[in-house]
Amino acid sequence: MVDLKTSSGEQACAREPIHIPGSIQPHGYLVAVDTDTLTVDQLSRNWGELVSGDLSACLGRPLGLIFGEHVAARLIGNMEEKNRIASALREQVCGREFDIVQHRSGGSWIVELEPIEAGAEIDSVALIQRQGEAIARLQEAAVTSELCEEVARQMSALSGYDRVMVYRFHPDWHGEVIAECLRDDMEPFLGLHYPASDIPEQARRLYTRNWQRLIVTADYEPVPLVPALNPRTSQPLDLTNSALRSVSPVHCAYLRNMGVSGSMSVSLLCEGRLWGLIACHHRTPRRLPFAVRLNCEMIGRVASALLAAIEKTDAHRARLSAKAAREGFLDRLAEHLDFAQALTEKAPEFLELLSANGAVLQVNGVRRTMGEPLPTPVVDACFEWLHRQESEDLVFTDQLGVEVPAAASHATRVSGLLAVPLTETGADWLVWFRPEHAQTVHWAGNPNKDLSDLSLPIQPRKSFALWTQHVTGRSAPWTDFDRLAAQEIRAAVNASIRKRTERLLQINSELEQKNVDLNSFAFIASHDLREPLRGIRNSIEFFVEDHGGAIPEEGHERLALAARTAERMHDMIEGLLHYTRVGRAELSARPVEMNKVLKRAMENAQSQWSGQNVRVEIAPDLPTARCNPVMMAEVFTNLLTNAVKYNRREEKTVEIFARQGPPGKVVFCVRDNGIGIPPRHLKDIFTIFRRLHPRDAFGGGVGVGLAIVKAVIERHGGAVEVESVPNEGTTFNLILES
Amino acid sequence: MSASILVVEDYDPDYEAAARGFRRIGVTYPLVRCRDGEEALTFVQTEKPALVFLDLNLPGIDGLEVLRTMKSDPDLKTVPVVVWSSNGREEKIAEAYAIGANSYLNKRMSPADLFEDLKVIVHYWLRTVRLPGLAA
Repeated sequence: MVDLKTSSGEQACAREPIHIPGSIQPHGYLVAVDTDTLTVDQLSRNWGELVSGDLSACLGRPLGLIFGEHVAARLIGNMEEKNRIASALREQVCGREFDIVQHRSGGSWIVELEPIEAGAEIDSVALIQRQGEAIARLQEAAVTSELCEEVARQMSALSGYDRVMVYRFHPDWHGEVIAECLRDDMEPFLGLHYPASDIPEQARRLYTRNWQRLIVTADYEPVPLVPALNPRTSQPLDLTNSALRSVSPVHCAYLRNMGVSGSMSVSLLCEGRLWGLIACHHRTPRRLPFAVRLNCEMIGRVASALLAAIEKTDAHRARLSAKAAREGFLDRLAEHLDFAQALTEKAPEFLELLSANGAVLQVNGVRRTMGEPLPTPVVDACFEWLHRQESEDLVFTDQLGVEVPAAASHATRVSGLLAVPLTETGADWLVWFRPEHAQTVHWAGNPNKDLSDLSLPIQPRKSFALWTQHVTGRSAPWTDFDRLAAQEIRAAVNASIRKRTERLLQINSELEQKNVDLNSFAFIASHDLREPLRGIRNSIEFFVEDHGGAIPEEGHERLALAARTAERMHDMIEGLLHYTRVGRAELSARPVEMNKVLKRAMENAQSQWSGQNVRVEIAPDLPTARCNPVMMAEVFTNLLTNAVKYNRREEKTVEIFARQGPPGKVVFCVRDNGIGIPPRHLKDIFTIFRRLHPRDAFGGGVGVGLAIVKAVIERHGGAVEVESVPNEGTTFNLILES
Repeated sequence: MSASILVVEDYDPDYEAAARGFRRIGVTYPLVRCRDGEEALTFVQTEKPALVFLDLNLPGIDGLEVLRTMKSDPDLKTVPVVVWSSNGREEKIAEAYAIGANSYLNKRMSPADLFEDLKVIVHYWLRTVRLPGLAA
């Protein structure tokens, strides 16, 4: 398979100098006149048909000798006007009537004579009218396709060719027939693609400088110029703008292979570049008079002017509406605090912004999918690939199967990917997917023609048989415009993420503040509540002191109860105060030998046990833990006190030992043989003030001990666990950092 | 001049408890009550008490301020001050002593406990140790 762009065959084609063929088509006559001397430099050999005698006698002679003084004077008059567009006369020369067209080429005037066919009278006014109508129709077109269809129609009506096509060049210079007007009995070429080599670079360059080419018949014998080289310059004559220019024999063979005899093409330029051609084909020879040709050229020029405007307006309008849609969407997005949720809710609209059929948003490890669902392994593979790109900017491909093999089997659903990174982590992306833009390209003939044998003169391809190429695994390409849109969306999404993070931080700090406030409140409240309690207590006391004699027995009892209640409230407040202090105190954790802590705890607890049979076994080699020794002493004091308090046995035992915990942690266990805790109450025992027994049972108590244990342990970043069998005993497991 | 015992206390129940306590114990020195720091500082300018019971939780001038003022006055600093407060925090206790408090007493919840404390205080300050400005 030969790569058409770089093959030397193609370059050979391109090198053929088609603008200096040194000959003309035989349906007219050519004279090259020196611009300074106004003498004849070169003639086409077929002048011999017009003048008898030796052609060389005419060379170097003034114009008037060949044309006659009258015509010569008119010709000279036109030359002096310095017109750029070829000017035309209708005159008699050598007894025959001609359309005479003259134009400048380098240091020469080229004068071309085309015989007027008998009976082919042109009604100029009608022609101009027709042209006016044609132009008006063209101007009505709103989009490119309409314009091209109208061009084909108008050109067909004007020129009468069997087939008129509008042929558009793709970026790689292969062409496509995008509009066509043809006779009913002919096979349509609409939608066919032609390889770039069919119209080589030389030709394309010429077509950009010269608006129109005519070939009367593809089967002609070229008429050489005499002399072959211009006598002044010793160079061949540049026939770029010549109407009679003889064309490349390769091109003629090409036309013959296609079954075309007469042909004409008019250029379509857009902003100075060759955009396409209006190609006209006829099955038999066809010649257009100069005036008609001029009309046809005009169609091309007007269409070209309109093209630029239409394509610009189309693109502009599309961009504007897309931008408006995008901005509207992004504004609404900004209003939502949880934009990820908002995005998912408005998924169809979001996907539309980039003509995508699916999207994935991955932020902070959370992945949300929109639109077309894809198997998780495929999406994972895509993210892996994205991560490997190590790109801080947009990444895109329209051949996902090639980049991510896992996606290849899903090409119909996803062939294109465009992704923008979010935040700076490299793991957060916003990804859009596009489905396969299945294209079936119909080639007129195999585009991979073999040009490798350079020994042969260049031959046009002989086969125009339909060659179908299926383009698979590709999505519609991501345009500059798409990428711009993606960047805008990325900016908006990033802004949303930032706002959300800020809001979360703010909420966090507000919560922290509230916590602090709450703690302060608890502390202050409990502190200040003690004062009125003292007041109540004292009042009762003084009342009894002053009036005790006058009060009956029950009265005394009731007052005693009141006093006790006030005391109890005081204890609760003290407990609450103590509890809040745990939350407010500096932790000051450091490695501490637990045996030392337990010594202290035992001292505290033992004072409560006088008269009771208590045996405490403490493992002698308890490990070290990071903690605050004072707080831990209180924890163990509380646990020891409880173990003895909630125990009906004769001999109350408490075992304290340690065991291995999860990595970096150590577990201290306090096991008693007390009354145990029913399973359904296990979760309640740490609640402050929560009692499982009547107020005065088991020696009373406020109900703060275990709450403080839990608060302290959790303050250390650890945890408390309880295991218990009712009537057997309870074990408290304290998990701390080792 | 008769020596008085100054009690600086704004909360009536607390003052009453103290007064009753003193009476039951049998203290004969007159009790003077001031309800806030300003009143107290004004009083000690006119008459130097033999002993001061000072509540820290006062409206207006803070109790510690009163203590500081008295202890920086060359004339008054010899007057023993028993700080009497419901605030049991370590820092406050240390601060009071640092300023120059002679004793720090917690206000007890139960009147019986308060009575016991008062007995000890009275026994110590008024019956055991010698106070400047008081006849033996």
